Amino acid sequence: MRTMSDMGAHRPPISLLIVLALGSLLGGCGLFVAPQSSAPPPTASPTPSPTPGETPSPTATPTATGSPPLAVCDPATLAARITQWDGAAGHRIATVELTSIGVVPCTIRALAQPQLVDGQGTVLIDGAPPAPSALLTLDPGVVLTTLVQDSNYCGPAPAPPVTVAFTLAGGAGRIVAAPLTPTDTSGVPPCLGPGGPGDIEMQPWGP
Amino acid sequence: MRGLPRSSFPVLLALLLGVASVVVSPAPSARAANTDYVANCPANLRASASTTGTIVDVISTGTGITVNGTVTGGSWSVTCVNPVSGSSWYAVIAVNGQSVSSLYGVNVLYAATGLFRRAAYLEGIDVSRWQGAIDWAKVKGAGKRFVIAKATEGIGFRDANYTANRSGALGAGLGFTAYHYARPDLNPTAATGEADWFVDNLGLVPGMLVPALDLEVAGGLGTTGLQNWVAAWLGRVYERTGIRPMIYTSPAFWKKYLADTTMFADQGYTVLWVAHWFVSAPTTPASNWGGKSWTFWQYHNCGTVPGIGGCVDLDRYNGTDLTRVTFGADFELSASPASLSLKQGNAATYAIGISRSYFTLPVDLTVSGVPAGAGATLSATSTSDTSATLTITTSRSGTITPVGSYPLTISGTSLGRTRTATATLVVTDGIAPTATAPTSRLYSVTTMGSSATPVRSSWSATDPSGIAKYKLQRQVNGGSWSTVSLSSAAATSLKQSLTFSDTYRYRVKATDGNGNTSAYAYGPTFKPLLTQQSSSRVSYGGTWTSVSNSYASGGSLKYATAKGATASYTFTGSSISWVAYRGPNRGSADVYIDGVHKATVNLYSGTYYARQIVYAASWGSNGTHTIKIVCLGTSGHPRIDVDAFERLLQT
Repeated sequence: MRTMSDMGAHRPPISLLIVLALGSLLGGCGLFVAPQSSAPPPTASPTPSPTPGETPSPTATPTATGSPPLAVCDPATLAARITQWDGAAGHRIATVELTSIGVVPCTIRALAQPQLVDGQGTVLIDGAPPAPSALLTLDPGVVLTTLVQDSNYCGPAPAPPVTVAFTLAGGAGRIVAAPLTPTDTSGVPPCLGPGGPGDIEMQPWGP
Repeated sequence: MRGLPRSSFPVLLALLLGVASVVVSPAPSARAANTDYVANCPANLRASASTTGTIVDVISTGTGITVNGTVTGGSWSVTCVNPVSGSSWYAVIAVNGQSVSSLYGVNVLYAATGLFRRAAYLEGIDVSRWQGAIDWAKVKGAGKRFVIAKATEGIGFRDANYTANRSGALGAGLGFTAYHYARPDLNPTAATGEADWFVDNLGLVPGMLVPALDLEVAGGLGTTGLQNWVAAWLGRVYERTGIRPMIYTSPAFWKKYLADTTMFADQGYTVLWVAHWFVSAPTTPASNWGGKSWTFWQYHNCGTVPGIGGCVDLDRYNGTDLTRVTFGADFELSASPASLSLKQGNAATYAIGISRSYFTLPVDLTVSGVPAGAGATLSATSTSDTSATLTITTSRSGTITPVGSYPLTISGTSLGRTRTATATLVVTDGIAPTATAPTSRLYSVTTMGSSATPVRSSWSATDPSGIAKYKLQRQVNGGSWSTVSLSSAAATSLKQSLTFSDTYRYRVKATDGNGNTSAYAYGPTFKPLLTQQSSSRVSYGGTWTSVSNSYASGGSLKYATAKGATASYTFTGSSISWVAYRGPNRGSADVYIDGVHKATVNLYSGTYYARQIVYAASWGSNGTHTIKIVCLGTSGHPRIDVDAFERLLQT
């Protein structure tokens, strides 16, 4: 049983997060935001290996102009977990944390296709494919967050735990967030429009 | 067109049959407030206010639109339930709560006004931190009237955007309130703790709408347990704020977890915010919420509204005025002046002030305490304005308004509450005196002149307030009226010397103590006439002796000394007098009028006085009478004289 104290603090709007991300880049933080593009993610390139003896730093290095493009993040190098579910008049809002657990910088798109999934992997609500979004560069150790909101689940009772998954843009794989607890189903929204579609959306990843 | 809560857009067009006329540049006639309408039949949305304007979309029957005014454009004619025609077009800024800019990429579209009826609801939204920063001016510009924002959840969670949403929405002039997302799963025994947390963060101020309990999690509580939890939460908020909150729920949740109870509706929690999406009308739980129906309806989960990025919930308010769900909404009445003095027969007005605090409903006005014979007229018996006038008219005829002081009560009733103002009406005498026409007569004892005689005129008037003054005027020989000075303002008689054979007339008007003045009351026209004793119309019986006397009227007179001697004069007139000498050797005589003894006149005096009016009699109008003088033969001084007779003849 989680407590209310883990519901998290105030989080700035996602649009502000993007701006802050840019600022962070200039300040030497670990996230780089490339201009938004609808183009496919860059082709994976050889992943630079860290120098033996070096400790991976969570600080990202901006991709210098003319530098070879970074690889798209392998979902295996990304760890997502739900840190909070809260409610909003027919909706459930998940705060999701994404950590780059790889050892080299890589990129993801700020938007993915969100899904609400149950403990058996059944997709309860399937989100729309993502719109074109910014390309984010993640240094190892960087933590990003997003909000996922769902509504109108009118199906059968799901198997716990219920969590969210993200199908990355451009066929870059899928990430399933660790549920809040092993038995949590608090993210299942009420059925307020029987016969109508469920809805799940996400906000762009940001620091 | 994701999120547009319309079931379909039928291809069927409302046939706009009118021949296009000259396209007028649209200029909304009134932009003060947005107004919602509902289509009575399929209707075209056009790019310009003309039947030749490009049809941008066709909206189906029942679709709601928000307009910010009307324009005069091309004429139209169509059968929509009934044949309608005109040249007035709505400037449409939103369709089913979504702005036309978001739907069609233009700021405004046009629709023939005759295809719509006034909507029975207001459009609004509910928001949380999910929506991020919101441009509230744009939200209002899209026709939204109210906002319900998430404030708190459980105990300890406060929506990160609540403060900004609250200040922004209130600042934009939108109806605003907050909701608490109930967490009985986390706090099954701390409903009041959640209520306290909510109230502590609510920032309730007058003008906000009724706050809400968002109930969509049962938290494992049974029906009774959850009912108790809800009752405790609602009771605590009511205890702290004086407001009975509204409840947000879906029909399914309420039936499943609260056994469709009507207890809350029955206990005064009459405001229901029902969540039921994608339907044309919501199912209202708890037997139509205890017969009170829904008040707010969350009808869609993903609307597009300018000023908000992404989806936002769309809501409706079941009515067109938010007053009844507004905290602190009230009104007071005042009346000015507090006291008014009004004469009978006059009218005066009180200014009725309607001080409104977030209260925009019409107020029905009535007046009581109006005295008999008086009328009370209100400029409006039902008004949405902030003032009215009350005109009181009193009567001085028919059913006369009695003089006195009357407390008036002006009552205003709206939304089941009545407010009053009092004022005092002081009715004063407004009735003019009743003046009696002047009468004039000869009188005794006095002295007649050589060519004129004293005449006494008298008048009167009555009034409850008393007579303050008279104005007497006289007309001579049909000339102009001239004011006659009186011995005092309220004098009721006057003695004047009037010339024989001239005609006279008096008129008088009276003014009472309250300034009311009567009309002139006119006396008769009359003339004083003189008949000498030598006239053939005077007959004598017994012995009468004629003598010359330079002091006598006409230079002569007659006298008798023998008892029983008589002098008779038959005349026509309204007043008669007998003129004689008085002196040491004069005696007494009886006077008869028309054979009736009227007086015994003693002409004795220690000094001689010529031309004495020794007897006079009067009537109200002309008549033919006979005056008869009979000598009584007084011992030692038996003589009596007849010098002349005077009379007044009304002409």
